[in-house]
Amino acid sequence: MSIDIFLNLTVRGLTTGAIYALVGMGIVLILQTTNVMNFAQGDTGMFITYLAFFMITTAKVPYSLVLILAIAAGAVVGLLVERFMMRSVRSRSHLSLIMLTLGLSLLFQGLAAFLFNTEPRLFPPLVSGDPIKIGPVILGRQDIVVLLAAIVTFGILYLFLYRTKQGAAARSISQDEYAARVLGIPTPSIYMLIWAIGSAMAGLAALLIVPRFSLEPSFMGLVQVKAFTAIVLGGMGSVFGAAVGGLIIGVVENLVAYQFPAIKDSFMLIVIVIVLLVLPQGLFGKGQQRRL
Amino acid sequence: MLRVDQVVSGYGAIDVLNHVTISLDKGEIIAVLGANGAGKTTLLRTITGLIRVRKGAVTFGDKVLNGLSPAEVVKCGISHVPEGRHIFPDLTVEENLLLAAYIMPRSQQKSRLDAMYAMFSILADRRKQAGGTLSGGEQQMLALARGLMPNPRLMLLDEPSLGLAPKIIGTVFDTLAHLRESGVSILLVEQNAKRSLELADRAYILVTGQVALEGTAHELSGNEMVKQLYLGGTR
Amino acid sequence: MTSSGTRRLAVNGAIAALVLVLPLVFRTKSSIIGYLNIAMLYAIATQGLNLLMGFGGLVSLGHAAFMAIGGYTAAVLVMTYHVNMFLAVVAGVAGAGLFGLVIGFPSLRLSGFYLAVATMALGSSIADIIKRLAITGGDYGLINIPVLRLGGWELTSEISKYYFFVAILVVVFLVVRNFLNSRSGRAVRAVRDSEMTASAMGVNVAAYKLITFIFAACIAGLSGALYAFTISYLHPMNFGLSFSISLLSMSIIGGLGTIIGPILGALFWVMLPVVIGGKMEFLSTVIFGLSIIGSVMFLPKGLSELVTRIQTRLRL
Repeated sequence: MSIDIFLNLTVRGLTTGAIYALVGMGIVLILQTTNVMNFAQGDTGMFITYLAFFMITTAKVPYSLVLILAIAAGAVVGLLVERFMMRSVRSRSHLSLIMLTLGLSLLFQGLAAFLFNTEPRLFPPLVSGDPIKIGPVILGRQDIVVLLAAIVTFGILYLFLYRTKQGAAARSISQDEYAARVLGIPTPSIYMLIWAIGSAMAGLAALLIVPRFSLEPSFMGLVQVKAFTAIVLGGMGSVFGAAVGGLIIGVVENLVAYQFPAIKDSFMLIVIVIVLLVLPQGLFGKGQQRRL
Repeated sequence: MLRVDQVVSGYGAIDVLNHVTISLDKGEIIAVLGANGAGKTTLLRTITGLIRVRKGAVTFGDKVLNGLSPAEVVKCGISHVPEGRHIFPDLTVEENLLLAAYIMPRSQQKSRLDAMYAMFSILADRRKQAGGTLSGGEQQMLALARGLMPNPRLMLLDEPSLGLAPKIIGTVFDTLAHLRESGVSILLVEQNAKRSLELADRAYILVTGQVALEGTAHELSGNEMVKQLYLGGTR
Repeated sequence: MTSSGTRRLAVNGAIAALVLVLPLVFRTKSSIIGYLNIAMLYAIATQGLNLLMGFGGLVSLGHAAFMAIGGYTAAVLVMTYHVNMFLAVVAGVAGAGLFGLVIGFPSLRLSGFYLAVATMALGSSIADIIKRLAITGGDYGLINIPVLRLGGWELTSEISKYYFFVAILVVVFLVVRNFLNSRSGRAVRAVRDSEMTASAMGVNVAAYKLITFIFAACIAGLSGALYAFTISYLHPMNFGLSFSISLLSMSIIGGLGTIIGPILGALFWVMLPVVIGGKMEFLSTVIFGLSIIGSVMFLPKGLSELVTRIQTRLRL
């Protein structure tokens, strides 16, 4: 592998990894604060992408507005899910909560397939035009947008968690939910807020990656598996870990696919088993506690 | 000011509190004594809204607290310092404090924060340090400061001396005595009966979820049964 | 015997009779019996999953992978190495169990979330692993897998398969029930209810979780092996993540922690799309999603609970 190819694969891997990071950060945010492992994260994004698709193609809404509307739609979905599903079963076992999100994921898939049929659709990229050459690296314009969006999202999330009182409240809940309630933090509204942010991130991530695939009900399935792998690699405990894990998975995946195409698809499984055997706390894990 | 009237509450199928009635006037320090499992912590949790009142009523001033969420109860002017301190280990001292005044506007938070730092200078020194790095005594000071952050009229304290060295216990009780002068009423739940009765105006003794005895701290200190069970031997 | 006992016996007898007579009723419609057969195969795999989730409190998002391993192992052994069919089935079961160990061992030491993620990774990569192996027929799948023989009897007709599956289902049912009532089974349930209490009582929590997981993988392997020898066709894409989610959904909808749940769940899963019809195919996915959500929120024991409620209402 020449150094040029290596660089190109790495940078391209970073853009894919940025998507895994976005999905993974949303999952960790929700997991750490509300103790729900959201297996519907990917399909929430998928469903919102369908809505965005029809806004663009049928309603001819400008792209930038669609982006904002999609993020807003994600937030609304998150609010509804928390308010009408998760709230009433919060005290149930982890297993029940996982099952609930699996049901939700199936519901989104079914709705998308039933309402819009399963035929793959081409989703127009956010930006078009010739790829940009930076030194030896050639990068598509959409890839640059993806990278920028991921960086901006990460920045906003960081500011939210460490500079706002709602963010501090979310972190406090992830460390000691009982203490947070005793202190009079309105935990239900924090849960709603976190679900809204997490689901909005799902919508954004799906919208950014869909031009690489085609729009169909299953397109987020594999992305979500990789996001989960990123979380395990990052230690499941921190949003930061999920972000770094996502980037690593994106890059390594790209390099592996080039060098050892035979194990391209089973690569996730290998990563997970090795991480769990050798580094069970992940790269940034602090043990089993819930930490943001 | 606080009235707990014939209250029944508990967990799952079990009633822990069985028609408990206690009251507290403005400026008073009330101690609630009793063995493990007598329902002391349950009483505090019921007042704060962490557990639902099943029967009876909890009133504060002229406000009925039944059915309010913990956040709403804090808004009414009651704060709760839980047993075991429950400091957020990865949050800084300052964040720990600010979260305790979650509902306050920013400017008010700031002045409360300054007041806390003035009262507990050790916390001012450690304001940027993670809560988990403090010593047990410092954590208890932080827990007390968190209880005071929302400027409560009534503070519920659950075992503030638990697990602390005797010297630090002295400091904690001195702080409580000092608080009384600043006009905060205190409902104190303690296993350390001797200290509590020295500090408190009146006391209640809970046995298996019921008030077995009540009176002024002085009366109870002289009571033979109390001496035997709570002041005598090792406890 | 009390009158309610008699009544229960009568009801169970009636159900048993119905099960035995059903194929004769649909004698001319072998497609319906075919669906019932598929449902029973799924019910076998789901029985293992139900044991894992309902009684063990653990989750597997890649259970179809164990079916695939069981099926492919058995089929390849028979077709390429001409191993005796019965031994091949046993090998399929063992192979699935072995894979259960490989996945379960590293993940079960950590919280339940890790098992969910690890099994999901297995479920999503198994199809591609199989595709890349030459011996499995790769992307073409395995076709013309020999039909199961019992002595001199070949299971070619749907009716013969039906009775065979009923028998296997009953055996699996009894094995699972005996396991649950054994010392190990009680330990497993104790672990689900409270790990702390169980380990305080001296139960080796990690070991029992692993045993349950491997046991569930073995049952899935059995289902896969039987699938191979009765459907006679294996394709990697049939065992992907979405089928794993399907198996999971069947056990949830049927009712976790109930022994009849897997059968109800599998029947519902297979029959609903048939009833709804091809045009509205995806309406069934919507209904499945809603059923899962509804089960978790309102009917934790799923369809079994519904059945029990109806029984109580009718005083059966």
